[in-house]
This record gives sequence, C-alpha cells and structure tokens, in this order.
Amino acid sequence: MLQDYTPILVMFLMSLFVPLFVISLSAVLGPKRGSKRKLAPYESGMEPIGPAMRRFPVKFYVVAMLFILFDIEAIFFFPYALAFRDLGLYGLGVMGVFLVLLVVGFVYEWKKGALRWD
Amino acid sequence: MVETSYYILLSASLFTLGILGVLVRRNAIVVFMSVELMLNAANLAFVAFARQQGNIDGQVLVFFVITVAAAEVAVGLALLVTIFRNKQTADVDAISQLHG
Amino acid sequence: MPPEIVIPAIDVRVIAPMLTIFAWATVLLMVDLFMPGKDRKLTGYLALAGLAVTALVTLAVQPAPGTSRTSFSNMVVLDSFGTTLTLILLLIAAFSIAISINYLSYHNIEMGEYYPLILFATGGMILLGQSTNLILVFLGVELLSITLYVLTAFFYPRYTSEEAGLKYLLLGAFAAGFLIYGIALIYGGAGTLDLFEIGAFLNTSLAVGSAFPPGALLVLIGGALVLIGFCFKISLVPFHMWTPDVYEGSPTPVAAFMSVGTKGAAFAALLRILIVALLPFKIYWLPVLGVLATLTMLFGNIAALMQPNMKRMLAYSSVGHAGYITIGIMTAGTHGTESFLFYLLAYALANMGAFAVLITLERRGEMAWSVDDFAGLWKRYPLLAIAMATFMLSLAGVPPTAGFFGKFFVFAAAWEDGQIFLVFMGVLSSAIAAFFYLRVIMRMFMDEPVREVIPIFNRGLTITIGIAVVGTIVFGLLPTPLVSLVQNSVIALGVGG
Repeated sequence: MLQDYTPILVMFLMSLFVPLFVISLSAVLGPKRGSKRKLAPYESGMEPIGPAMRRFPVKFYVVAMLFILFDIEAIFFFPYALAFRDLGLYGLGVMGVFLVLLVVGFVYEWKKGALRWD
Repeated sequence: MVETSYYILLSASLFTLGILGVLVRRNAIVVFMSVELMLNAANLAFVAFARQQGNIDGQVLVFFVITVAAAEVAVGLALLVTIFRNKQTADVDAISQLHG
Repeated sequence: MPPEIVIPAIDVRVIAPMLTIFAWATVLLMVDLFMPGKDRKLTGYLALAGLAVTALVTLAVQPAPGTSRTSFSNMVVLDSFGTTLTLILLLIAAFSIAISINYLSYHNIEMGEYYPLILFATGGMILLGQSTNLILVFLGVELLSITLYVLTAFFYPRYTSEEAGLKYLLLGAFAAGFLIYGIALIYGGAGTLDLFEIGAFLNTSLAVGSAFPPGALLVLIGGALVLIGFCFKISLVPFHMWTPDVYEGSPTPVAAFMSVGTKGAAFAALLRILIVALLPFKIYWLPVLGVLATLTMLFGNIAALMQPNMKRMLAYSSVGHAGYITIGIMTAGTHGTESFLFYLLAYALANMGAFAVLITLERRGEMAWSVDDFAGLWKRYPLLAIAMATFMLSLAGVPPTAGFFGKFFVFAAAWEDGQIFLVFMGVLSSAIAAFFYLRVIMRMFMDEPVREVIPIFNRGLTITIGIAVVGTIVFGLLPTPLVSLVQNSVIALGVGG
C-alpha cells in the first residue's frame, strides 16, 4: 500500500537535491562583482527601507488587478480540460464563447491603454 | 476520513471571524480581506457538503464564487485607489462625507 | 472511472432575452471602443435599440398562457411571471438610458461604458427573475451588484460618488457573504441547489415524523442567511443604512435605475425562492417578513419626513416602498404575484418620473437637490409642476393614480390573508408618507420661488416624464388591462407544464 507512494518520495528527494546542487554550484563557481544596485533586495527599484505609508505608482495596482481577473478566468479551463473529450463539439463551442468574451475584455483594456506602462 | 461536521465547524468559525472583521476593522483593505474570508468559508462549506452529498453541484458553485470574488475585489481596489488619491487614507471612518 | 457526462437538452428560447441583451451589450462595448470622437450619444441610442430588440425577443418567445419552459437542467425557467418582469425591467432600463444621454455630457462624465454597463445590469436582473437554481441566483445578484458598484462611482472625479461606490461595494460584498453562506447551508441540508428539488426535499423530510430533521434545520438556517443577504439588496430596515448615502452620491439616473430595477429583480428572486423552495417554511418566514415590512414602512417614511434634500428623501421613500412590496410578496403564496407586479410597475413609473424631474433641476457642479428648488415651480413651469405633482400623488398612493391601485391591491391581498395588523400599519405609514409628498406639492403650487432655477429639458427627459405621467394616470383610471396582464403572470411551481 505505502510502496505505491515510493515514486513520490523519489520525486521529492530529487526536487530537493537539484536546486540545492545548482545553488551551491553557482555559489562556488560564479563570479562575485557586487554593485550597490545589484545588492538591493528588489531590483525593480522598490525602496525596501523607509516609511510604510508612502506613495508609490498606482500602475502596480492596475497591472495586479488585471492579472487577478485574467488569472481567475483560467480556473474554468481546468474542469474543461478534464472533460473535454466527453463534451465534444458542444464543449468546444461553449468554451469558444467563453474565450471570445475574455478576448473582448482584453481588447477593451488594451484599447483603453491599461497595458501601457507610461 | 475527517467527518464533514468538523469542516463545517471550521467554516462556520471562519465565517464568524469574517463578519467580526467587517464590523470591527476600520481599514477598507482589511474589510475586503474579511469579506474574502466569509466567501472562502462558504467555499469550504460547499466543498465539504459536496463530498458528503455525493454530487458536485457544490464544487461547481465554488468556481463561480472564486470568480465573482475576484471581480468584486478588482472593482473595490480600483475604487479604493481613486479614493486614496483624493483623501490619502483607507480608513472607512474618514470616508464619510455623505451622512445619514 | 468518472461518471459519464450527459449534456442536458438545451432550449435556447428560455434564455433568449438574456442572450440578446448580453450579446448586444458585449458588441456595444466593442463598437463604442472603436467609435471615433468624444460624443457618446450614439452609444446611448444603440443601447436603447438593444433594449427594444430584447423586448421584441421576449415577446416572441413568451410561453403560452399557463405554461412554462425550463432548460439547462432546470436551472432557468421561462414563465409568464418572468416575461412580465423582464418587460418591466426593460422599460426601467430604457427610462434610465433616456434620462442619462444628455445628463452624462452635461456633467462631463460622458463615457461609452456607461450604456453597456446598464445593459449588463439589466441582463443580471432578468437572470435573477428567471433563475430556479441557487447558482444562478448568486450569479444574477453579483452581476447586477458589481456593475452597479461601478455605475455608482461613475461620477469620477466627484469624491462623494467614489465614496458612495465604496460604501455600496463594502456592504454589498458583506451581504453577498451572507447570501452565499446561506446557499451553502441550504445545499448542505437539501443536497441540491435546484429550487424545485429543495421544495420537494422539504416536503418529504418534514412529512416524515414529528421531529425536525437535521437537514431541514440546515435549510432553515441557510434560508435565514439568504434572507439577510437579500434584505441588504432590497434595503429593508434594519439593513437599509447604505441606501440614502449611495443614492445621494451616485449619478441621478443611476440612483433612479437602482431604486426600481434592483428592487424589482431582487424581490422577484426572493419571491421565487420563498414560494418555490421554502414554502413548507411559510410559518417561519411569514412573521419575519411581517416584522421587517412594518419596520421598513414606518422607519423609511418617518426618515423621509425629515429630509430637506430631495434625493435623500426619494431614497428614504424607496426604502418605505420596499416595505409595501414586501407585503406584496408575503401574500404571493396564496394570491399569486399580481399585487407585486402591479406595485412594481406603478412604483417604477412614478419613481423614474420623479428622478427625471430632479434631473431637469440639477445644475452642473452642484450637489444640492434642495426641496427649495421646487418652490414656486407652478408659476414658472406649470407642466413640470403638474408632472411632479402626479408622481408625488402616485408615490403617496392617492387616486386616481397607478400608485393608489398598487397600494390597494397589496392591502386587499394582505387583508384577505388575515394580515390585518400589517394592513393597518401600511395605511398608517402611508398617511405619514403623504405629509412629505404633499409638502413638495404645496411648495410647488403655493410658495414663491426661493432662488432662480432654470430647468434643463431635452428629448430623453421630456419623453420619459411624458410616458411616466401618462402611464401613471392611465393605469390609475383604467387599471383593468394591466390587472389582467399581471394576473396571468404566474410563477412556475414545477418543472414544465
């Protein structure tokens, strides 16, 4: 019974080993030429130290919100992916309509300039 | 297998915590989080009941709840950003120019 | 081995009205996006055309008298109740768009999204009126609510509008939490989300033995939570706190749309839940609704009495009217839905008209809506004063207006049901309400003008006010055709047939 899970254990050990190996390899072999910018915790330009109640660009929120919306829509594809053979043409049509609606939303945000960073 | 009633107990506690959060906390973002807690408590109940009842209607509804919650939060955060630009605060007590 | 998937038989006629309006709204959104120039009036006219097409489709697919159609595994039903409600909702939406077209450009908030949003909200309302599955009830409520949050905050960058939007959203999401948790408990108890099956489950489980089975208890608690969720949406006291603030902050046409459309659709869904699924629990929900209706009528009208601000007064008056509509749905279990539908239509005509008059007096960059603006209106603009007087009389329930028959049918049905106390409280609160409605009329006809007011007229406003006046008076003098229409609007209590 428990042996059925042996592959999972192997997988687990492998996934532990590979990153550890790669990280230590780059730590040993990689050149270290630190600059002020490179040593900053976030290379995106976010200042990590300072007052927490501080203004920073709203652009981050807009992108984050758009991401949430489109990300969530993806959950409808999972059940479809599981059942798409049984659903046949009907399912394909329905998901097509769903996709068209998503594209409409996408075209809308594109034309409105929500994807433009500056 | 864990009995359904434990899941329901947990979801009821989460739901109550969510209500308390909405009623007690004053920061609009925390209020949003509390509402999310209420919705996710319902999701937990749906999934547990779906297991118990042996049909998947409850699981189907969970998908819609997740989507609706995302849409609601997106609109809510957008509104908060515009209000924040105006008032520099997310405190719901300070957002009260209208009164009644 | 997963269970075999059977695709249910699909009858597109059942969802044809919704399909039309949603498709039109989506296409309109795209059309508007690629439309050159700043002027968005064309989008508004196209939205009106969409409503007309939807109305034609609704009439084309309406079921034969006394029959209904269900489809999509009985999730949606098309019965005569749904058809009548859809037509009323489309009329409300058409009024809202007609009074918006010039309002938006006048106040510099003209954006094309406004009209598709109204269409989406209307589609959500139609869905609410037709759904017989709690999944769709939830989706309808949310579709309606989320679009209305955006519309409420549409007066960007006016701060109060954003604030109203946020308030509405926070309370609406809170209410949605109650609604969905209630649905979860109902599902846990009955094992189904289908309203017909929930009703059947309750009938069988309550018939067995005298003890209260645990499943039925869960449904009862869930039903109570669902009721709380709906009470927020239809603003019954004590869940009405948001109403005046949100109405005051939102653009006036949106307030008008919300005050009638949301109420109509949410009441219809609640009605269907109560008499299709929860009828065996009538002994529990009847007294609760009675208390809520009494509180709502009294509190709404007393609060309206003290409002110097017309928009807030109309908001409180809409709270009061929610109380009367509640009496209407309480009697629906025994008397059908005619008093609810008649009241809704009468209220829609008078309230949309009153908001339209308010818009004619609203000035750019100002948030006054004072009753003072109505003083002496009769001497300057007699027709406008007569129109407003008609709406006020109808809202107060004075003959010969449609509002009188609306109240009359509601009270008559409640009286026959033996709800004598409710009828008494209803008449009492109507008497209170008459004070503030008549006060507006007195100021228009007796007083001298307080300040210079120049009304703005345009085609949309004039036509809306005209139709509302004519409708209010005609249905007040000759209610018979309308009565026979609403009497034939029956809720489907079972699948098919």
